[in-house]
Amino acid sequence: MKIDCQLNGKPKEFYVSSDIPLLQLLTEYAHISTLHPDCGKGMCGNCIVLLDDLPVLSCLIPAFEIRGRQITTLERFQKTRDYTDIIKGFERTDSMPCSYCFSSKILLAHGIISRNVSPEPDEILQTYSIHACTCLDVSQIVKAVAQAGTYRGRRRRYARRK
Amino acid sequence: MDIKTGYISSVHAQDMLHGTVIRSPISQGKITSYDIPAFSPDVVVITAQDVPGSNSLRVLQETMPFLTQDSIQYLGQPIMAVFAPTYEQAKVCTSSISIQFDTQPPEKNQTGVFSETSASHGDIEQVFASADQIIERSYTCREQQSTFTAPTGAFTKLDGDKIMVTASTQWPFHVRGTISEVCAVGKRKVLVRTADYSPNYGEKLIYPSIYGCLAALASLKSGKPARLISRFPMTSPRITVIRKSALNSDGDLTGEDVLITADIGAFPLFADEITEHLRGGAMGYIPAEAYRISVKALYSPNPPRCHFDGFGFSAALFSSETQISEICSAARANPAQWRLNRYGGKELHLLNGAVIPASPLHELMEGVIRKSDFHRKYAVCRMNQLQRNSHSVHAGYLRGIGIASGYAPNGFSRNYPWEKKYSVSVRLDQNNKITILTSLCSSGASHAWKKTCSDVLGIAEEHISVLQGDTGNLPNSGPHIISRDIAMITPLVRRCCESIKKQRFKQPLPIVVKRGFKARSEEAGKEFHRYLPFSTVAWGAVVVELEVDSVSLMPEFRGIWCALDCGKIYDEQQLRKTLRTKLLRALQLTVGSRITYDYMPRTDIHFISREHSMPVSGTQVLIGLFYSAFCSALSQALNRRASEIPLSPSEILELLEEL
Repeated sequence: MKIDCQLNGKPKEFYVSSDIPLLQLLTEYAHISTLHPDCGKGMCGNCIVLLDDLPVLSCLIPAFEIRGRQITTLERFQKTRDYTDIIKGFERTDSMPCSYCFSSKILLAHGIISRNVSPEPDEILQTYSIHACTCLDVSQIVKAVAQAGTYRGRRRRYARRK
Repeated sequence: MDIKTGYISSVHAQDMLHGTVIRSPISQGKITSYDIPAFSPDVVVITAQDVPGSNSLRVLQETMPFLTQDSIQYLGQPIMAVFAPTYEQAKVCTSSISIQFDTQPPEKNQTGVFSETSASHGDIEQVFASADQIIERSYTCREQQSTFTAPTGAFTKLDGDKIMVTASTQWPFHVRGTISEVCAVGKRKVLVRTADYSPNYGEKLIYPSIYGCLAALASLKSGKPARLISRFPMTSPRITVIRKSALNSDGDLTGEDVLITADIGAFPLFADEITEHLRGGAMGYIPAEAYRISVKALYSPNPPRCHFDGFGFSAALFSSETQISEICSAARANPAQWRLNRYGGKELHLLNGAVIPASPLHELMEGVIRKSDFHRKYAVCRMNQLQRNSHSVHAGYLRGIGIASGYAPNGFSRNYPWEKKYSVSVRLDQNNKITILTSLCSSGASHAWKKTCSDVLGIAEEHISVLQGDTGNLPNSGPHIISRDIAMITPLVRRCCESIKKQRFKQPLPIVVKRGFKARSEEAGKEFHRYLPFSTVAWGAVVVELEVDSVSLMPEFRGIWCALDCGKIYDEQQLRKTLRTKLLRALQLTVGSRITYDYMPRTDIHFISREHSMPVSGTQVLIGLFYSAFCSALSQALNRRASEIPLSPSEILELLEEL
């Protein structure tokens, strides 16, 4: 089956079985190297990508669902200013995730602060509860995302003023 | 190698084959026949007939089969592997292969004890006969699966007559040795590089060698790169401890009789080490007139067990400390005060009579007691426990607090002959550049190694690096288990640096110094009655306060306080982060389910730093003590005896329903 989509800003065509998970398509056919999934069942939370700018578990999305949609992985996302806000937030609070879950934790943070630049701790923790890697403490993750939100808000305000 | 090391799932190459393993669905029996259909030429099937060398894996002194030809010895035993251009195709080919089994047990049924050890002192029968009170309890650490780890696997490609391997392994030289023996190629022709593996969990000792061999055979057969990633569940051994304590009329311990059994699977891998660790962990810190400890590592038709929490020391420590809490509970004594009274000052007497002259246990205990406000909370929880109607399931207020303290070792329990070949090198180049060479890949410990070099040689840390190489240019430093990276490698790095310091400014550059493991005192291993059986230990004390949700029956942690003595601390923040992650993992194993960010408890970890000692890892002691403090707190909260790990809400319900 032919599936066309935008992967990391570029149009792509894949000839794959329609029911394979997006995760498999990304790792095997597109050779995306920032995903380190373990379970393949939506339990580890380590396969998060942005689908039309929203974080999703790629192991639970069948390939046919991505037709005509935009998929962004950390490879592309780390070249954006949105990424800079987040990484500055994590660095500033001394809360860098481990290399194993780095991609997913960053994309989840983007999902939160895209909706709300001043998220409540509960909202942050609830969003991160789909992730199994516990390399960061509760307080660390809350501070890091809140700080990233502050940077994002500041940048948005600055852009509006301009 | 031109491949950038990352996680094994990130390693790709042109024309790479993807592999799947066909495993036995039965635990014992025979393969009567199998049918492999004709596949397209780009599909490679590896069976036992394709093994040019030895069809077995050597793990220290023991061996286990690689691919089985006929006899099935455990559930999930690898039978063959299928490699195809895509993973999907490999799975389709795998499903078209049919294998017939005879599920009758094989003629020579393997049963019994792989390894056993014991220790005794005094007349145990006499002590129990004259005891005023005997407390007998059984403690179990059930099989636990290591979940959500970074993928386990191997990638191989041919480069001339060399096999280049990238494997998510904690023991790269074992992968090299195994591939060399299985593929019948010289060891120097196999170059193994370590891929990243999740440092927080990780049980990647034996399985990466199996996957490396299968991928190497596929590469040799097809001439193409091959990658095999497996999600075969990794399971820890089931450990059962039966403890019998004899007490006199004052409530003092007079005798201790301990029987430990560990199910270690179908092959005796690390069996001696497991029994030694269990024996050490079962010892306890209260001296008695007589004791007897028997430990057995038993066979079962299960896959070889994994040791992600060490070799069982934490399970045995859990039993020792929970038994003390049981004794205190029977005596209606405050467990913290009871321990402090018995431990005395700095001098600590172990069950076997050995004396540790400078134990930090008293200081650690006082630290966690003060921070957690243990005495006050214990009194309230105890009063509530005594007033509760024992037949009521929904008491509404199910709160408890538990304490545990003790030590746990780093490294192997004794000096094995094969350990002498492990070494570390340090090289001093021009412009004061220092390079540390070791096959152990450890981001956490590398900071301590660099700091050690910096302290000894007075060279700034930015000039010190740890070489990221392969088995061709790194010395064999042994397996990365039981915190060998921090406790064993750091002293070797220091010895190398001290030698460089003597040669510096006298010898031409580069100066390369290699140091190996020295033989440890044989007596320390043999004479259990006189010594602490491990040379490097970390000390700790843990308090757990919890409340069981009266509807979901899920333990809600109100606080976890830990105090640890991990020797010299180079980077407190990093150490705290590592230990907190291990603690959360222990918590995950304890409640038998995934811990999410909205459930994580508040943890308070503080350290005693000793400037003039070497760093040690506090992981094992933390896990064992957490298990014990958790069970003590849960027992108090439920007014029932909790003595098993893990305890899920359904098991808590069973406990509550017990009359």
